[in-house]
Amino acid sequence: MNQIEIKGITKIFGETIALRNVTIGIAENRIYGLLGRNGAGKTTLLNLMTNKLFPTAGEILIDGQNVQENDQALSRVYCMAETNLYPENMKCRAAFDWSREFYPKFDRNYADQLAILFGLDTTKKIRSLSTGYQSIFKMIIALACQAEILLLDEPVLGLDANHRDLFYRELLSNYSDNPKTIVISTHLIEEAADLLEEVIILKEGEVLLVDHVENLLSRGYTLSGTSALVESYIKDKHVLAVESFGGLKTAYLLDDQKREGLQPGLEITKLDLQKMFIHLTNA
Amino acid sequence: MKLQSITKYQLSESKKSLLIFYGIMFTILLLTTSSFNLFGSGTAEVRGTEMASAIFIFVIGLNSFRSNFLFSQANGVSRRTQFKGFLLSILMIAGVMAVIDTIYTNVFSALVPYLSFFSMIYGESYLPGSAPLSILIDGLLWSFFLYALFAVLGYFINLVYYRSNLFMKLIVSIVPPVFLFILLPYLAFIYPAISDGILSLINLFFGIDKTLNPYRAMVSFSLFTLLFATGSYLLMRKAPIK
Repeated sequence: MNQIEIKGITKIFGETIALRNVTIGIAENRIYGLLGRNGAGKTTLLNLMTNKLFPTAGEILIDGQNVQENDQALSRVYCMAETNLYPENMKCRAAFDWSREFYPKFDRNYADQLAILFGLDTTKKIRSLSTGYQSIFKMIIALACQAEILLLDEPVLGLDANHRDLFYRELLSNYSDNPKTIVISTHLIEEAADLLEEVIILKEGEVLLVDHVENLLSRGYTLSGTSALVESYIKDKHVLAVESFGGLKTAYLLDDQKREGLQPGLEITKLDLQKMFIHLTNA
Repeated sequence: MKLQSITKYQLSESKKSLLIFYGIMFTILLLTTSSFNLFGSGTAEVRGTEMASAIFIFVIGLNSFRSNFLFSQANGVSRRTQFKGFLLSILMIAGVMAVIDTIYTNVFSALVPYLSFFSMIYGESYLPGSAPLSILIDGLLWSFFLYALFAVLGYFINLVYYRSNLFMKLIVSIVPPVFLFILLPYLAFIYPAISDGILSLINLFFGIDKTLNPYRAMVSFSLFTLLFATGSYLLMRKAPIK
């Protein structure tokens, strides 16, 4: 049974349809990647899941409870928003104290340890933090609050490579110590790919694909060879994209057909998640 | 649980401003008392400092929505709970301010020639033999209901702005002042009946028409507090984050 049920969600802002009839089931204690190009509706969906916005149609349930105006359901979720929702003149350590008030399982010692690990000065006011440190501040609250469901909207925004690496490692360690449902919305697919178990791809407000990452990767591949051979091979297959270089062709495919009996002159290589995403959302 | 937390948070947000405000008020009390003692009061008199408190709590109401709303949203608090938290916290603040002001005005009136706003309006309704405690309690309750109304009015105005687009913000900013300060005085000047009607309504609202009745004012304040609170809730129940 799914922990979160997103049923027929449509969200319209004025004349813009941000989400159109989105239906997704999110299973408990899995790590999901919520992927999509800019404007695909990722942030809108996360905001709807935490009742920061109201849907035009449809409903979102957490273990059967509608999230709308539901303190009980909402207290099980922590959403690390892309924008800062904390008072700008609040000090980081005061924000940690208040987080414990709203999330009673908030681990203050762990938050302090993470602050030292990431070099966050908790005596500073939130407004004085750089973009990267604002992300670190919000990410520390997300990791320490011990909510059952974590929604992370662009969690590594503004972080340098070292901090991003540290974040991915901490997130995995946190997940293995206390399994939880995590949904990460990110544009850095290549970096996050190793974390993800499931993937949800949105395109122009609609669900393009929901699948296990392993399953998806096993179905995707790149085929290279002479134009004639490639054309003949891909005839009855699910082709994502084709690129030509002189007399050579490269095709990006997504299908379950067996790859045995490959003609000489054709070469198959694996397709990584980022490439697959690019070709899926470009198509 | 969340109601208690958000109420506590909203109270803590106003604590600093309250301390500064009363710091200033007590400084004024000390300076006025000292100057009256040094130079004598002559014909000078201090009046109605409760209006400063009413304006202060109005500003607290004005500043109580946006930041608290975003913070509540960050911490998984529903709009309904946040609204209940606001009402609880503002009623507590109004109560504390009414008590402080009652003590303050009584201390003040013992030191310098002072007349509270309440005494200015309803003083004559209390006979010289009236129990001082009843005047004290009536004054305190009157201040409490007045402060609650001012706070909720501030909150309501802020919510109207929050929910409005640019065009509506312009309408809301221009139409009421133009109506209240230009059109209405002009109409009242041309048609004296309008001016008489407005005066009757004000007298009715404050309970100062035939007899001086502070309880009617308390009922009026409560009804309008309820009206603006209902309006605020209707505006915030579907408020999106901006």
